[in-house]
Amino acid sequence: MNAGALIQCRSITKRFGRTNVLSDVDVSIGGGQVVGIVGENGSGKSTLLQILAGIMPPTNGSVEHHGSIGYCPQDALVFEALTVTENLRYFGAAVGVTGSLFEKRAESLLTTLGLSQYRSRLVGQLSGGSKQKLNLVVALLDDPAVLLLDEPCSGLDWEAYLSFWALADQARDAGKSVVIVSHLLHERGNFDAVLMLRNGAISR
Amino acid sequence: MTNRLLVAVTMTAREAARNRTACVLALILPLLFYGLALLMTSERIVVFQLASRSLEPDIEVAGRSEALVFMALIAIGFMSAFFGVNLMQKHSDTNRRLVICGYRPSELVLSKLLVLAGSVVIVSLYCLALMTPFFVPRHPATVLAGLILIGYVYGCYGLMIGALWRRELESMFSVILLTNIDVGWLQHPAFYSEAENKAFIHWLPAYWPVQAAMSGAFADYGLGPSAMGALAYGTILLFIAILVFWRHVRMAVPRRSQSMVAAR
Repeated sequence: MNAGALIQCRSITKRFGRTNVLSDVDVSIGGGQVVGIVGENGSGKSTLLQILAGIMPPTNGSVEHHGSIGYCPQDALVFEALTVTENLRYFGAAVGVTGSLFEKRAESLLTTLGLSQYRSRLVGQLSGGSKQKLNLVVALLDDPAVLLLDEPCSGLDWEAYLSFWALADQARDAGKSVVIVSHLLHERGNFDAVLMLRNGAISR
Repeated sequence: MTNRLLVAVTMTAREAARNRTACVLALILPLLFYGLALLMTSERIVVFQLASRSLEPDIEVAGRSEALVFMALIAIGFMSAFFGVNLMQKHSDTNRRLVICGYRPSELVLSKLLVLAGSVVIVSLYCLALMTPFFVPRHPATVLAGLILIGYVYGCYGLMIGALWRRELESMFSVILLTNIDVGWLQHPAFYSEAENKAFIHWLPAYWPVQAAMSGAFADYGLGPSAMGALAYGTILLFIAILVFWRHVRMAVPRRSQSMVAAR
């Protein structure tokens, strides 16, 4: 394990049936950086992120975590029949953020991402962009050491987009790791390091 | 109850209660079943033997009374099985996210079971109250227990099916097939009395709850063995549901730990 690495994976291979999605991938992500995983559609970006998050087991290889992980999936995985606050309370209970800490964190994140006026609204009544913001707030709720975000900016309005990058910069300055899957070329300038996936392998 | 479980139960209950169409249907379906029973039956005496009391004398009751109790069992069996499937399959990916965030799979299944149990108790009380203008059971509390037990057993069956199958069609087939054959047909006392290979019927999920409800309605036998049998049956199905759910949602690397997925 590299000194200071919060996530390290070695010789990761992932196969779905006969399809080889990732081949012998090594990744080491330290604190205080925003790392982008980029590549063409179907290049295995989301698969690599899920393996890094510990959600999906690799076919071969190993993953090590040092610190708590916050994972934001590509689709807004929240409960449509619950309100924004109820969703946050549910996920807050999962990550152990309750009571006054919950109130403080939820208030701050909802305000930053422009969701505070929707706190009592059912998620099913929100726009796609607002659901995506909530998706992001859920991942940020317990202030994790490593943030793994799968296309977090899709559907965000311009203001929320800028707020998101301000949050990512804050996280980096606080010594955290932010790993972002993106297919947007103009976002490459925001990353401290880029992992380009091509034919299942990484070319930096 | 831990805070996490309490939150999970509260949120699951709120989500279920906000499905107003399903709530209205849960009130209408027993009415429909009872309406059919009243329309299709008469006070003509039917004779049957309770399966769990085969050495006891035959029971003679009005066909309408027997149909009302049986219809309550069918209605609650069907509804609880479908509700169990729905609780398990709806938001399966979001439930996985909850596990990724720190919930134990068993906590999530338990929260669904508690919401299911609460709904079963409410619907069972409602069915018993609807029945009483037409037929008052000899032991209403035992009949209520029988109705709750069929809800428990078939609710757990629904949870298990919801965990086993990822898609709705397979789940529908599994629920309709067994519920129809078991509660809707083989457990009917009149059919059972004339059936061959009765031992097979004893192994089906509705056997013990039906015995509890029927003996409470028309005889003076205790609830004990029936309750034990039904609780054991439901609990086995529940454990299978938890196991399968755990396999679906488990993490490759446990959260908040310095851990490793070793090469295979």
